[in-house]
Amino acid sequence: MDKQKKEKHIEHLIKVFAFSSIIIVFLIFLFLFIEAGPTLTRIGLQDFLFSKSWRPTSSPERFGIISLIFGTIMVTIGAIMFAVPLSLFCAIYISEFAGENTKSIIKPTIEVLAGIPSVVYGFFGLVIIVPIVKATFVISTGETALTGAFLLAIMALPTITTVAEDALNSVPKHYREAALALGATEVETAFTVVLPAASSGIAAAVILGIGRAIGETMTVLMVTGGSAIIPSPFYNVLSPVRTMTATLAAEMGETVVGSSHYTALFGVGVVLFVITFVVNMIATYFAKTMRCD
Amino acid sequence: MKKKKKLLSAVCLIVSLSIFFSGCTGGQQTKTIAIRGSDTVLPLAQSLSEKYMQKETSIDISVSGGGSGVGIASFIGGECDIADASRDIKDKEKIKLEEKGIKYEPVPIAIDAMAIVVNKNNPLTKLTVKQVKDIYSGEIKNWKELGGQDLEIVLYERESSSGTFEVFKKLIMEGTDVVATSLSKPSNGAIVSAIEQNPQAIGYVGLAYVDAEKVKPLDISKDGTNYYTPTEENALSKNYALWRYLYMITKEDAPEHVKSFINFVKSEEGKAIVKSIGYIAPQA
Repeated sequence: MDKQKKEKHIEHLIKVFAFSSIIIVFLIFLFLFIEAGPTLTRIGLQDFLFSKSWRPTSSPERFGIISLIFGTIMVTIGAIMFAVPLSLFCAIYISEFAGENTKSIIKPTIEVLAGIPSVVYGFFGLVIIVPIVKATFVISTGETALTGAFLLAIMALPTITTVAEDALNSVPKHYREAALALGATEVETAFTVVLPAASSGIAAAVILGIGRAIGETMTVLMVTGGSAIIPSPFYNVLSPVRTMTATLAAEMGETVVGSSHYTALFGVGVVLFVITFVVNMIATYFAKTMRCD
Repeated sequence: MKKKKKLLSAVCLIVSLSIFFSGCTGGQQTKTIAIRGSDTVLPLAQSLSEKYMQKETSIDISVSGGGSGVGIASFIGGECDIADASRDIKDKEKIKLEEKGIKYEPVPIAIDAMAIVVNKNNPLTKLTVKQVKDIYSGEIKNWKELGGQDLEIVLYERESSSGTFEVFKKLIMEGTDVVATSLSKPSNGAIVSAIEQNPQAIGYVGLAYVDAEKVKPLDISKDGTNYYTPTEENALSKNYALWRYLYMITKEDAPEHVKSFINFVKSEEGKAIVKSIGYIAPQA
């Protein structure tokens, strides 16, 4: 009897801890929205989301975040285009072809990439990649969306590889055996049987990678130049851009609490939060369908 | 039973450790000064506080940058004792200070000549204020238009939290916006290293950051005939157009140890440090 009671108490205690994370998320959400609220009345949703000019210290001040959203999207798409093929092949090799010894070298090495602080990536980018980009494309500055995308790709690589490899590993062994028994080669088996079977897990991996790239701050702040513009033409990846995260990091410290600039930055925070929230929801959805298979 | 004993000894350990540590801090009575703000003032504030801490070992000074705006914002919020600023206090900030009932005093600790710098390989040696304005407003886009090489001009500016940025806007841009394609950097040091790398670049930094090994400061003219190099002499005579005061902002009713630090900064010894960093000591 006594023991059972004790058990219940511990259970309740653990429950409190579990729910505290939900409460934290909820409070952050609430705080962001309350602080960002005045943006709606002072700037107006349409001007805030769709006007092109972000000039927080000019007079009159202008707070249009479309160029910042565009910067974030451009760098993220670029990063994914580099990272997905690289990490998919990496995951396929680890899960389908590599022997135990090779695996024990490749896997920890990739995980090391995840442990490097983002400011180190930024520094590396600024000193090494920026001059290379400038010289290669013969442009006036190497601080471009492309440079940021390239670095973010390296940073998203471990996330995508690890999750994709898990997905490939969870494909039942008899799929492979059946394919091989029907006369398919190992490469055919990997690409036509295992890869499609793991597709929803791989989709989840890619989307988690997108989440990583969207939220990254320090690296993009250091290497993408920080001009709040929509490149012309809009697909020009060799133009400097400014992302939402970099804007928050660079400007939040100096704003007077309660000013239009302050609330507008919280507005940027809300937009960022909503985007990552949606991205995570999609990832969870794909991860779930993977388990149902 | 065994478990209880373990728990008891753990509690004992924690209690004794906390007594030990509280004894440490209680005995020595270190007083702290938190200084925050302008990146331009940062090397000066660091050097001043290092020297002062050598003299007064019971005082612990922490110095950090972030920009003049950051410093003043945290001064208003009560998070630092002294705000470094490389610009005057804005009206908006004055209103906030008054609302909070803070009596403040901006102490001019040095004079800075803001330098317009280009890459060492740039053949250009001088510009007028009007030309700098035209470059930054996007009207002049190529070095060729100024008699230089046929290369696109790459503009570097500071983030909006920077006092240097505000002074630049006031002294040069006069209300015109800096063109949106300019690249922004969070510190003077970052501007210098970016310009060192890029032969097409132009930027602006505080005098203490002008390293002749890395970048070339340009002579500046107000009227288009007389050009002046950013030096101590030209800033003091006000011939060089882009000079400004650097401030440490404190409370009028600051504690004694903060006041004595400010007195040290204003003393002859403090002025010698101002000079050694590369800024100009204000004449009394």
